[in-house]
Amino acid sequence: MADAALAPSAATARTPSPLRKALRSPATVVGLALVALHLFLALFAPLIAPYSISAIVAEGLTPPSAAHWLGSDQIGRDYLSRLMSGGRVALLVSGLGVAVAVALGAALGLVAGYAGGWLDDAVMRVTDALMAIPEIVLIAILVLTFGKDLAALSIIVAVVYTPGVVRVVRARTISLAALDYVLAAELRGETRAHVLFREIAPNLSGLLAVELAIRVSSAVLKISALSFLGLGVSQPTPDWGLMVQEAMSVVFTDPWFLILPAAALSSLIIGVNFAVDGLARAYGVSATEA
Amino acid sequence: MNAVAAMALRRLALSAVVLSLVSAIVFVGTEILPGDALDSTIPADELIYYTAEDLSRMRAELGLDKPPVERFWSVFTGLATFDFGVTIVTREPVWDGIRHPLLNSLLMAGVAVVLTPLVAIGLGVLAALKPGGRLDAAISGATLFGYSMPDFVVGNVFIIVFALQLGLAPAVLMVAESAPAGEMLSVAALPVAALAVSGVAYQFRLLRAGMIEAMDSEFVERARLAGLSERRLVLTHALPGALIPMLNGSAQFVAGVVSGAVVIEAVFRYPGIGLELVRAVAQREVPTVQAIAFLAAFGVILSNLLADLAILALDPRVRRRADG
Amino acid sequence: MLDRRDFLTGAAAILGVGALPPSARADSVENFVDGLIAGQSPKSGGVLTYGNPVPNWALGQSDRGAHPYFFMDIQTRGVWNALTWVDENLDVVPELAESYVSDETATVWEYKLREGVTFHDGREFTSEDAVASCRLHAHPELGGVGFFKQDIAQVEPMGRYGLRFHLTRPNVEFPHATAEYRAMMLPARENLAEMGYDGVGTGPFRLLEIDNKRQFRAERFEGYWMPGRPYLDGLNGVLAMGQNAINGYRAGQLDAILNADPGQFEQFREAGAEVRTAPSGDQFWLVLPKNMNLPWNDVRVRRAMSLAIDRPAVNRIVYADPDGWTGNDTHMNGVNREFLPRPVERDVAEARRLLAEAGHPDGIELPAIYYCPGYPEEPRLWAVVAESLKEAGIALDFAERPCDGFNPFVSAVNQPIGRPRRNLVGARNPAINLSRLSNLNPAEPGGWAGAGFERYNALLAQAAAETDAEKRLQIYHEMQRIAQEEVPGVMIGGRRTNVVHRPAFRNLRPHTQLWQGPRYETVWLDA
Repeated sequence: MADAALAPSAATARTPSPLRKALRSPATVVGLALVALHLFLALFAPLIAPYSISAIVAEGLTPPSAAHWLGSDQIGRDYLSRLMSGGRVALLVSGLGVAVAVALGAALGLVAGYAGGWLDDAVMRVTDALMAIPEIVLIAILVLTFGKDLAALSIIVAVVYTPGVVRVVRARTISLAALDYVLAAELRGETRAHVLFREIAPNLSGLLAVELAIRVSSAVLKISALSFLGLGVSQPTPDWGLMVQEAMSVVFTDPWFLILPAAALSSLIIGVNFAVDGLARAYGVSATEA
Repeated sequence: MNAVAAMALRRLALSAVVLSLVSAIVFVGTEILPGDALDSTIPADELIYYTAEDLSRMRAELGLDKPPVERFWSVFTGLATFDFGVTIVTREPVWDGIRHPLLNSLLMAGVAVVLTPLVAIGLGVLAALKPGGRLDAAISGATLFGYSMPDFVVGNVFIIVFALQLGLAPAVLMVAESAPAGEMLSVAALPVAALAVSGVAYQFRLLRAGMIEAMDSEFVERARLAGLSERRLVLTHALPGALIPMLNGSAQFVAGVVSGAVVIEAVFRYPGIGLELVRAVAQREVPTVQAIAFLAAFGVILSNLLADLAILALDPRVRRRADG
Repeated sequence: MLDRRDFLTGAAAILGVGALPPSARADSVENFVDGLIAGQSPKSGGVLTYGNPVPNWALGQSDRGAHPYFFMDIQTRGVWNALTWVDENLDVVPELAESYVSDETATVWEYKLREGVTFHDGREFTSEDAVASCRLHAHPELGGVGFFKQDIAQVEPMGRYGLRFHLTRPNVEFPHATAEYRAMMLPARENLAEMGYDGVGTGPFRLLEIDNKRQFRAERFEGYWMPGRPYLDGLNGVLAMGQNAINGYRAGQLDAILNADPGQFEQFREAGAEVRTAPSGDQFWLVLPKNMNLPWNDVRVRRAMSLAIDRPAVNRIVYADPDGWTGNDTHMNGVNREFLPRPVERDVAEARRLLAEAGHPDGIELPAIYYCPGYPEEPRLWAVVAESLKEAGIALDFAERPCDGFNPFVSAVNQPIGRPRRNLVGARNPAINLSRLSNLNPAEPGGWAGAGFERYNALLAQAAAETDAEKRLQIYHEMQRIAQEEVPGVMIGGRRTNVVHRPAFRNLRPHTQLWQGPRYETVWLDA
């Protein structure tokens, strides 16, 4: 069965769908599996975790046991349950924020790229200015302004990631707008809105999907860093960044408390990267431009 | 060459516009705060000794009672002339508080900015010599790992391994904020190394992709047929072209170093501007946050400008476009 | 009690304050130091570098750290001295004062100063400096000693080595106020606002360098007024938050940690450290504003909260101290002789019953209480408290805020009471402790009112003028019973000051009242 994919006849007989093509790469499969696992945990961890994230079920630090597979943390909370939920806030906030950023950025990028002129200039200069402020610094300013609850963090992620999307979408729009079929539509006398949303926008879907994935993984890292700095998620909500920070004071006696959340976080990042690389290749979108 | 000069001038003007926009963003971002930062003026435990009149007098002294437009103008002119005003808590010049941390961070970030591309290029060349080989796989794997590891994990692991297990560096940076550069550098080796990890990983991935693509190109194939050694090919044919995307990404790279420095400084308690930023945010010390954000953006824009000029000088295609 | 004539002639008599049997008391700092050294043959030399894992809450700019108000945290006694010192039994003894005495109304206090004390810059310490220092500390804007502001009407010199305080109200325990953490003696300046910034004190070590956000270095002061002391050549302090404390110790960079995280005690022991704890230490007070429409305005809800909190679990899990003391819902500390424990330690069923009676049979959600991680273990402490409240159906979120700017944040609204929050409370004498729930403190009673409050205030005034220790004890007990009945706020308790150190450093002792110790004059390195 595995050989079928390699057989020349399969490739020539029928052009396989890009997804199927992507799934032939083991890295892509691993990536997609990791992403699926993380999404599943983010959504359902509270339902399948053996204990509540905050319940004190043991007397302080205890080693792994049948009741607590990964032992308990410093105040006796089930570590496995907390680890399973440790990416929820970051993923949720990043997902929401980046979705807004992609929608907003795509709209602005499309309009700026297609309209050109002063509108384009205005949008791009603001974009440049926002991107000139290093992400963590911009986030710090926004934490000062909006606070650090879930809604605030989502807004912050949206603000931080919109400019990058604008830039990428605008560049793609400009190159698409020069293509024959777009020119043809313009010559047909289609409205600008029609050209923009019927002719150009549909060709951005692959790019936007890549943008979404890459930026969510980057945002997750940023949110954990923020929690690590004490400006993000706070107790008793578990967060991998916060868990790493807590682990540092017991790292000699319990190194797993550092290794596990770090591994969880990086498996998400690696997963997204593998999945995006594979899918981008399959759909013919350059992942590096993201 | 005139056209190149005009293009350089245009870039300069654009940079000034962007910097002005940065101050506007910083103002809006910090001064649409709920309330103002006066509440942080008063030392811990002592607020109960101040009356409402005291507070409004102080608010007036700080100019917090003026209309927003007027305040924006004063913030804008202040930032534009590198006059950052006084802190709200201690009423001391912001500059005095951030001068040493800024220099310390520049020191650390400067070393990282120079070191990172050198290491990345070195690794990129090694990997491109035999794409898919064992060395390439090892380096690619390691950099992917480094890329996926958050800075705060890398920093902490470095402390455990290099400071505590191997004793190669201090575990706690016992150095005063105003220590001379030499002393600062002597304790900064580990933070700099940790700071470089993710940058190296990112740049390596960019470079490797570019170089492997170049090695397969006709241009290189022709040179290969002409009998050039593989090493020669990598260094003289593939590398220069692959450097362009790296230079193009230099603003992003510098911004990334600054972001990374904030986290790494917090991990190591390195007395730099990142610690100062976290502290200023925690204290709602608005003028300090404004100054740091502005200076960080200034650094990024400046490096972007320099990179643009470098590309202008390096890349014939861009020069041709400028001429045409 | 001294008669008027003795008082006027400035007799060197010490008023017994909450007296212990004389044998257990050091009657001066010198006696305390000598007592510790007795039987040892201390060596000179060595430098002690300690880590301090407590955030510097004085918001010090680095160039202000030479001022005792802004010095790294409040470990000021390495560099400065105060007029009095509170010893390890929480009794007050003379430090730069030689003796002190009050008139029979306890509104006038006279202090006789120690002679032959010099500042680090070589100048002699006289009444001029003492008066200027006290005026600075009591100054309405510049001053930083709350109890001075509250009590002192006027202070004047009495010759070259004496000063006289005129108080606004009777206070038989006033000498405790002159031992407070910021009440250090500084060289006089014409302009009070300029005082303190030069880092010059009379203490055992002379400040060489300070970066208030990070560290200080100090060297032995050869002219120290205790002959032959200190033994150490130098004293360095470093802020060492989180893992830096244990890392610094393991790496050999830090010789001691003041107030290490109790969760790391085992690690320190494994690394060869000696872990010492004082009988008691700081505690956490929940300020519950009752001047707004909040569920805990109902006393039954407050009683349920106090009954539901599992203080012994805090001691076991957070402090690694199963036999520790627990708070009694006043500011009284477990080591105070006058401390009256709560009648019932924990009763979840009773808490639920009270809640149901108050109209919350299905549990209750309370507004968030703010805290800042003032001690490294504090986030864990509130997590345990919140979980134990949950067992009684009380949902209460403890929201973390940064320590820098914490007090302004919590006091910014609902003045003068502020937001629901935890206050950090030092171990002090009963008059000061119990005054914090009275009308003298605008914030901590949280708008407590009614007959119980009136009675409480009247008793406090009565105690402040009562010179008979036994009668004062009775009053103090009654005040605690009132507070436990009405629960104006909740005290957690259980913390003990600790010092973790290399065994080679001798006589390094934690002090229940944090800012009175360690006394570095006693410390020597057994190399």
